[in-house]
Amino acid sequence: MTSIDTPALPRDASTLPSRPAISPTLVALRQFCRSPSGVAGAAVLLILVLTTVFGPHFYGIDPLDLVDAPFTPPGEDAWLGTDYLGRDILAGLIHGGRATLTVGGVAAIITIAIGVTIGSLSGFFGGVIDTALVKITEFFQILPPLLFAMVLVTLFGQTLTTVTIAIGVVSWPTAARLTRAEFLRLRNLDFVKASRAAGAGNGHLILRVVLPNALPPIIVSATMAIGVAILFEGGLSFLGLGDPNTMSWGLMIGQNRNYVLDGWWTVIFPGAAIFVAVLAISLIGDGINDAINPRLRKRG
Amino acid sequence: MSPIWSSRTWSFRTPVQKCVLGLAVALSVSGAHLAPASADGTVVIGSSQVPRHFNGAVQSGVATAVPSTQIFASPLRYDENWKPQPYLAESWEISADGKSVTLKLVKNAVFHDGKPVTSEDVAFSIMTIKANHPFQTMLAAVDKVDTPDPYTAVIQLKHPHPALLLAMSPALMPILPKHIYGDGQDVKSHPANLKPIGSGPFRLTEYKQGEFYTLEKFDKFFIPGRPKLDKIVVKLISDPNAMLVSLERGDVNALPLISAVRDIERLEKMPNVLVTEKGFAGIGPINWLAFNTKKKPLDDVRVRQAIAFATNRDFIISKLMGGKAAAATSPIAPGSPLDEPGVEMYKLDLAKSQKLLDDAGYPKKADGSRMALTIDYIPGNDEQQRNIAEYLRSQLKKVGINLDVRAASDFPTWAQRVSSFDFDLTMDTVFNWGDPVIGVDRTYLTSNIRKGIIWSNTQQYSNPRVDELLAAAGQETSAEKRKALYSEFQKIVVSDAPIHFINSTPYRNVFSKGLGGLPTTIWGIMSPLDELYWATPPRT
Repeated sequence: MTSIDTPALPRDASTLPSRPAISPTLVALRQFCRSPSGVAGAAVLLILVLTTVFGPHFYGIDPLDLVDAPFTPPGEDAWLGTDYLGRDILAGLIHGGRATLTVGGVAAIITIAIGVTIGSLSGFFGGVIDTALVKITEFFQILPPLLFAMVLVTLFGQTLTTVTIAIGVVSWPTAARLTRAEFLRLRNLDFVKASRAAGAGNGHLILRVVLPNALPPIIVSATMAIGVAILFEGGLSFLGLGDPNTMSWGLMIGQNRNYVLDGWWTVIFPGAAIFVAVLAISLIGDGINDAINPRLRKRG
Repeated sequence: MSPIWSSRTWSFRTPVQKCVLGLAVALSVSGAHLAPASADGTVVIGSSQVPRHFNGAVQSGVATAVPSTQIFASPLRYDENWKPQPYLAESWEISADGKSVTLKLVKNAVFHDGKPVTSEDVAFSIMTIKANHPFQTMLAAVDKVDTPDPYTAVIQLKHPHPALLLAMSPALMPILPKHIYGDGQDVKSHPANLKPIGSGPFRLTEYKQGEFYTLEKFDKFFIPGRPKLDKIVVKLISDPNAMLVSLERGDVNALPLISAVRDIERLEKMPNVLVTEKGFAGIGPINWLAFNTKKKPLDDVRVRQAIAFATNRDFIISKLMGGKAAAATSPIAPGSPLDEPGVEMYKLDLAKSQKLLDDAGYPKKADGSRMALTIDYIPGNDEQQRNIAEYLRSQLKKVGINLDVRAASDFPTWAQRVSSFDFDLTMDTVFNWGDPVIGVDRTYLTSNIRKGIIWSNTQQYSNPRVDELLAAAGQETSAEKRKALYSEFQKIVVSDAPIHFINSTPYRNVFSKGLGGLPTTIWGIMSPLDELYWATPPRT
């Protein structure tokens, strides 16, 4: 058990020379660095993020501009070719990555924020609150997420903001159930009882005592949620529900899919980009899981 | 017997096994009607157009017109050169003052139920169409129809109405049996609309909603030796790829109204297939960019002209449409005898466009932009609509106009925005329907600015001279003077630019090789297919 806020732990650990002080975060980080797949995933994601953040400064072509003849194959004129309108695929990848990764990140934050709030209240208080919140969660869980997201985007307009919020709103039930399960397990353990006996209020108990101890699986779930959100955005765009004014990887695939026989490069490159990004995030998730799950942790 | 086939292994005892068996049987049965049906006298047409019903007297549009023109005959039909031909009317005569048209009907025409076609039916049909058809201008000039004898109908007009001749085409004037539709029920929702009785070359014998309908030869059709086919089956296929594959395999013998460039290119490469662009002059489909002329800054003609000058029509046609479409340069579709190609004035000229915007009082700001506008498009036809909207976003940025593409998730969303005037620019496709009075006037008449109605004058364009010209041309009986009036009209509209005309929709009709008597008239597949036959019967 990695209890960060265990009151019994001495505040100043450096007074104990026999056991050098190592914060649990550091332990986890060290553990993470021992997982080759996790490190590889992190490296790939870092490259992708740096490319999309700094790439536009070095590759100044606007992804929505028509720069060459439609379906120019990859070559000197356009390194990765052009799409059905003559827009540069490489520019699309660089600029589109920014939108795609942002959608992934923000949607995952929304997912976790809603999921953890509902899950923790539900698991901590139990009783009527739990029953009500579980019903709400179940209601959202039985709605087919893609259809539900399509309805939301159709109702509120095809903009990137709507798409992001829609993905967050349809994805949170898993995080809520996970959080609730952790809270149910933790809330009656001794250190929680001890804090309560020491006079801690509900807010303090939820945020400072139970939640930090429930975090490991939530962090893993949040990481995975980014990957899921990226795929989700791709799915919505594929169905024609992306934001036509913001280039994203999903939009590139969605708009070019009718022309895959005319120019394979229009779909293959953004497809590969999504694949690599989701794979990297998935590897990172595995690495974090290995690092912070004590049952999997290797000794030594 | 090998153990695999022993009754123990293959007896369907469990519910799951029964289900599997049932499913297999169901699949093989449903597959049966998809099998090639190209017997000698049968043609199978694949179409994505699902008709609501079969009565073209009260319903416009291609989906109904294709079957309606097979089931119902009309007073006239047309050839490839816009010349009227006798059909139910063996002759027709326009009075000297142009205010009455006398039709002499053939005497041997009967409806599918055996009752004769008389002038009573013609009179009833004309008044029914006038009252119920969405094209209100088409027969608005008709006052009444006299029936001096069973085979003479005299159409009395309030004023001369030259468009009447085209309005008597099969797609626009199906002659309904009065003894069925005259029973007092609302014709728009009449039960006979789904079980139609006409006097055309084919009878509707089966309709499986959303799947197929079957038209069989009418033995007592009034033209001897016609129709040449025994049967036409129209299969409703929603997926374009499935349609193409069906044609390639010979399961389907004709695909009407294909407009996707990639599909056309694929079809042209198929060895056993003939692709024709003939048969659409009558519909006259124009793909255009419309402006909201009442909304700032588009209320300034210079801004609209600037956008037209910044648009490279040649690029759109040659690059985005693979050269398959023809340029449209005026409100009257290319192919119409009234089209005036000389009025075109917008060749790509970015400098001129910039100057017009400067003059209109929209100078470039520090960031290089002058204004921000939105563009809508009809969803579902990416090549003709969305792609041009996206092209314009990139193109108009060059003259400082930031265009935001507004996607609509479905047709009603788009129609709602445009018909309630909640738009700046929109891509649109509108049909001419033969005569300008039928399909062109509605877009430009001040009196047709009708909020809430799509394909009315949603641009809210208003020019008194245009109203005058259209009114005069609508009543002008001299073909020459009429053409001159429409020429002036086209010139003014192009210059006023409530709409920037881009191209004629690249429709194609596609047929299996071996078919003869193809429908290449101005109405194409929306006219009787009584001449269609197998010159070289397909191998079955």
